[in-house]
Amino acid sequence: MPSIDVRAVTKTFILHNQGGVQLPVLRDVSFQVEAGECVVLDGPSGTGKSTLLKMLYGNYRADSGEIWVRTGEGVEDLVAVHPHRLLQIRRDTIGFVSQFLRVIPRISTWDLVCEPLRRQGVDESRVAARAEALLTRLNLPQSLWSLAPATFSGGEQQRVNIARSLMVEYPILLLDEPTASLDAVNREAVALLIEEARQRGAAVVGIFHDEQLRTRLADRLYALESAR
Amino acid sequence: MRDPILSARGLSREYAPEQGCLAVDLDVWPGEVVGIVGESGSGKSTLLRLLSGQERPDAGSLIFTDRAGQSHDLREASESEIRHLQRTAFGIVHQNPRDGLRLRISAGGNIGERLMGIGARHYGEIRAEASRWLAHVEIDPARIDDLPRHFSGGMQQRLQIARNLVTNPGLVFMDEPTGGLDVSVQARLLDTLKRLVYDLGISVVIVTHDMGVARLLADRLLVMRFGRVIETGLTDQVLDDPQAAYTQQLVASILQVS
Repeated sequence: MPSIDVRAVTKTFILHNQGGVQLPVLRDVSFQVEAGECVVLDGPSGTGKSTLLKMLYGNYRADSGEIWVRTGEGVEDLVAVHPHRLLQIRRDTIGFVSQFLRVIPRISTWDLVCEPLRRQGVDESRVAARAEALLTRLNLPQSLWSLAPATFSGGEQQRVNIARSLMVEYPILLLDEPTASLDAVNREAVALLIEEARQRGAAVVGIFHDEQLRTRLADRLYALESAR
Repeated sequence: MRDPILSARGLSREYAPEQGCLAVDLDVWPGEVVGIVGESGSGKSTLLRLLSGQERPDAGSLIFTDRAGQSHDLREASESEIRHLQRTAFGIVHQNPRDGLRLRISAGGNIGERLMGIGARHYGEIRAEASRWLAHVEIDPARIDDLPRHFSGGMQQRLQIARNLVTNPGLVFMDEPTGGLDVSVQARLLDTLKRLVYDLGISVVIVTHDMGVARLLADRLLVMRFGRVIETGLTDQVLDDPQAAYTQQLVASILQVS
């Protein structure tokens, strides 16, 4: 039983305020990802890689098709679950590393990073140990931990984002260009963390433009074609 | 999945054609924040008043389940039962703090009054709890004896929130709580709200026309227009991938401003 089973997913954006223009993005997309496998979404820009990744998180909605994921309670279809249940599935099962950090301005880096694990009710000493380990491995100096990331550089914000998204050892990990604004040292740190996630059995789906990283992490490429 | 604490089906209250709130279905689960968005006149405030028992529906059903697991039919409940629930199980935060505060009694008194409403009698304990709550909402506890009319708008709003949360209600209703505040004051209030909601595990129904506020606070959204709910979903679904023409317009107009 795969961790992710996408069946005949179709997505068209309808721009009601631009004369009802229809933009077909995905047509009949089907693929599976096993536990411990890393699948990289491949294809020229405009083929819907990012859209598909967002649908695997339940952020964008599918017009038709099914997206089955293995959760603690069996398998569930993200297209059909109630939004309230989707929140729980995100909390416990699916991690998403986006390109940008979107947070409330005044919350400290430390609290931001700790939040996903605290939300699961994990003991504070374990939360702190994990946060410290991740922030250190991602080369975020301790002097920044108590500060809100609003004034950090793009690369620093990105690493806060990665630390936050990796706090929980999610069975499914979705990565949208996680190393886009990082230097070589930090790219390596992130690559190692992703490899570790895969080794512990996470099903990983990612978009990586960095050719080296792609070759290194991908067990398989899934090629998307233009739906237009 | 636990059961919803508040469950509305076909809830309606029509003042005039397309004015009010029509056939709304809504569930609120423990610990979640539900946002109701839309323009003024869309019926969102009417819906909030119906849900919180401040107004009675013409049609539909509305069931609230308290912490003891007891169900209350809010459409059929007596006035005194509703007032009792509003005092013990609900919090209601008004847009204008002056509507939710008693301006002639001290800050500490505003908080303590709610505690006395649920049976607290020990003066020292009430005062200590009021002081603790002032600190929670980032008001200097040294101002416990000051009258709220000497507070800034942001402080008054934080005091109103403390007054509503001190009794640890399971469900809090908020109508544009950041409405009359400067942007910088808003951000601070939103932080405070987010933290309290998270620490206390309360459920919140919040009405706002501000998509930024919705994005930061709400887990789920209902979009209203002409009294009806036209779109629902997780907050990020509705804001990132809006389906209805009206929602797309609403989201697009917000992005242009910010």
